[in-house]
Amino acid sequence: MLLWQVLGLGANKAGMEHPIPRFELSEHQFLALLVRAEPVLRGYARTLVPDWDLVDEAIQEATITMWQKRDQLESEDGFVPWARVILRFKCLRQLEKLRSRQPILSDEVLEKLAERSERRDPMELSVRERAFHSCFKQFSREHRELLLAPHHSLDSVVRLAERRGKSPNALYKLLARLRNQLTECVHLRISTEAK
Amino acid sequence: MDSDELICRYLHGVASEEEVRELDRRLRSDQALQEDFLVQSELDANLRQEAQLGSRDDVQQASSDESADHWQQNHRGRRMTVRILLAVATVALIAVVTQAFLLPGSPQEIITVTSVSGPIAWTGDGGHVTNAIAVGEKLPGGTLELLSPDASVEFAFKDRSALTLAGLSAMTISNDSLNAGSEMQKKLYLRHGRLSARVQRQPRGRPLIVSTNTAELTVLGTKFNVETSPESTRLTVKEGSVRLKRLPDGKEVDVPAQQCVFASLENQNALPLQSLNSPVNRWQSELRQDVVMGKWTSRLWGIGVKLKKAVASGKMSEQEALKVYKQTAHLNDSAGSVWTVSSPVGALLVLSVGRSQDHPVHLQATSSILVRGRAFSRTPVKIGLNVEFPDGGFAGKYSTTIPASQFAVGEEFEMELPLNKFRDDRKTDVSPVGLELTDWWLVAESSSGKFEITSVELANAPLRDKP
Repeated sequence: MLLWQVLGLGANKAGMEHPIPRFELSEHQFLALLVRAEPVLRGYARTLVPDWDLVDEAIQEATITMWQKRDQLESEDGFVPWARVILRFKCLRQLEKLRSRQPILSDEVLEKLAERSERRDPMELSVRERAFHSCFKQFSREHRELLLAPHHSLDSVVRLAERRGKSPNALYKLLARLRNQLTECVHLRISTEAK
Repeated sequence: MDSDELICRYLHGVASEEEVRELDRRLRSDQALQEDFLVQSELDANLRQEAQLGSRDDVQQASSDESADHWQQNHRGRRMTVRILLAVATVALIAVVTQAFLLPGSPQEIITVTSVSGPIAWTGDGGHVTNAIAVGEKLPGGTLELLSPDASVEFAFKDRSALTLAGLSAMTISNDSLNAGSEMQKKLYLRHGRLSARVQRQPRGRPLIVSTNTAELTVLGTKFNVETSPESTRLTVKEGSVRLKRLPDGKEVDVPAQQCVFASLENQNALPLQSLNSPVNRWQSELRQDVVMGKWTSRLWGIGVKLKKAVASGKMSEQEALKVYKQTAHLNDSAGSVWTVSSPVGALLVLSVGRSQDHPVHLQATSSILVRGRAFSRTPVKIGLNVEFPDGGFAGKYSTTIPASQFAVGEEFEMELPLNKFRDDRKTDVSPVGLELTDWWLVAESSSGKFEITSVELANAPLRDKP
């Protein structure tokens, strides 16, 4: 059974088959909503697809579909949940491509992650993003370079390891520790702000 | 291996099959770990955004050991640049929007629209957004946004100062009415894009102010063009003079007629004036520098992807691939291509001629545009040219449509388009001969259209006649 069938993403989900347009979106309003939601959607797609090129593809395709089906949207508040449904389909298509190239998590686990991610509050995510920037600045230059390395090119951690005279595995271990510290810092900052 | 490390390896695509199976097993029943996975994914999204603030090519540069320090310095500089940019942009925007909407006593009508072409959005009247702006309409303060490269809007202030916004541009317009009863001061905030202006002499002490992310222009009465991107502003003065102040450091320069100046956040040194050079009639695009809208991909990046695929399919060992990559890394990294990006008006690509060419580029009857690239979808495309009058001011946009039958999916194409194939939709009998080329653009009819452009060239004789 395909993942989308397991997930129950039929055509009626989110009113996709019989839309009742309640308001109209201009290009300008649509772009504004999209820009606001983009970080949340990107994080969501990343949960499902462990390849940034394919995440970009999924978001690009989803954006076009969103634009074509914008009359299905019933309110601005509904934009993120609606966009997530469309994006989930696109991510699943990308996952099919990826499956032949590298091992990925089972459909069952991906379903759990997707559902959990959909329950997250977009506001909470933007608070987390602000905290991230404050925390990231506190790391040393070398550590920041390592944290960003996997996002520059596929083999940049390997090259960094060569440059620093370390094994790639050692650097991946350090990278995991640094990410852990960064996560802790974000968590701490949000808790402090909440108080 | 602990779970965080497994998640990290999985997200970066380096986890083995066994590691993914183990992670899968742990995630099945452990809700706290599922939450951890989401947090790590979001962290990854934030890190990627942070990485993208710098240039991808900075890192490719860093692949050479010798240049590592240079990269670190450059990267730090760029991050600082973005901070300055955001601060300046925010302050300028708040200032102009406040003046436009909040101050009491603002006159209801500031400008009259004299020409409209292409999709636009006007945000005014307390934030109301409309796409229906007609010629003759009188508008209060607000923001004008042009949504496609072939869009343009011409408008005039009450004193007959005439301005044209062209291509993908956005500008906030306001009248400063702090002193009720006195003559107003015109203030514009050009967020991005190209503005041409013919400004009547302004009242003493109330010059027209044009703000961008990087500069503030003070105009008493003159004819000038200004083009701005998030990180730079190029001012060309045709008549009179304009004072330019670079915002991050406050450095000022008076730009007289027939001179231009380039203010950038990257370079904080002098602001040298340049004479307007004699025109040329050839242009070869420097894609990396010229791209205004589109996705630049260096050749090296493409090679990296191909090598990864070769390793994944077993055609090459990882060591061989790394060796090839390192050898290639010493080649010129300015080689590459630009890709269309999707938008509500179609898949887009826009190149600005002035970014890499110091001389004005004039079109001639024998001019031809040569475009090389690769099509990844079979869809009609419109290729266009934005032009200005040699003495300043927007002159129009000319385009030609290429049918879908000209493209084969995945195949390279090369097309030579003589100038007489380009038409201005509004003035079909007017030729662009003698006008100055400012932008080249491509719009695929479908947003899902995908095109890679490897070269754009203007030649002044039929290219196939060349020896």
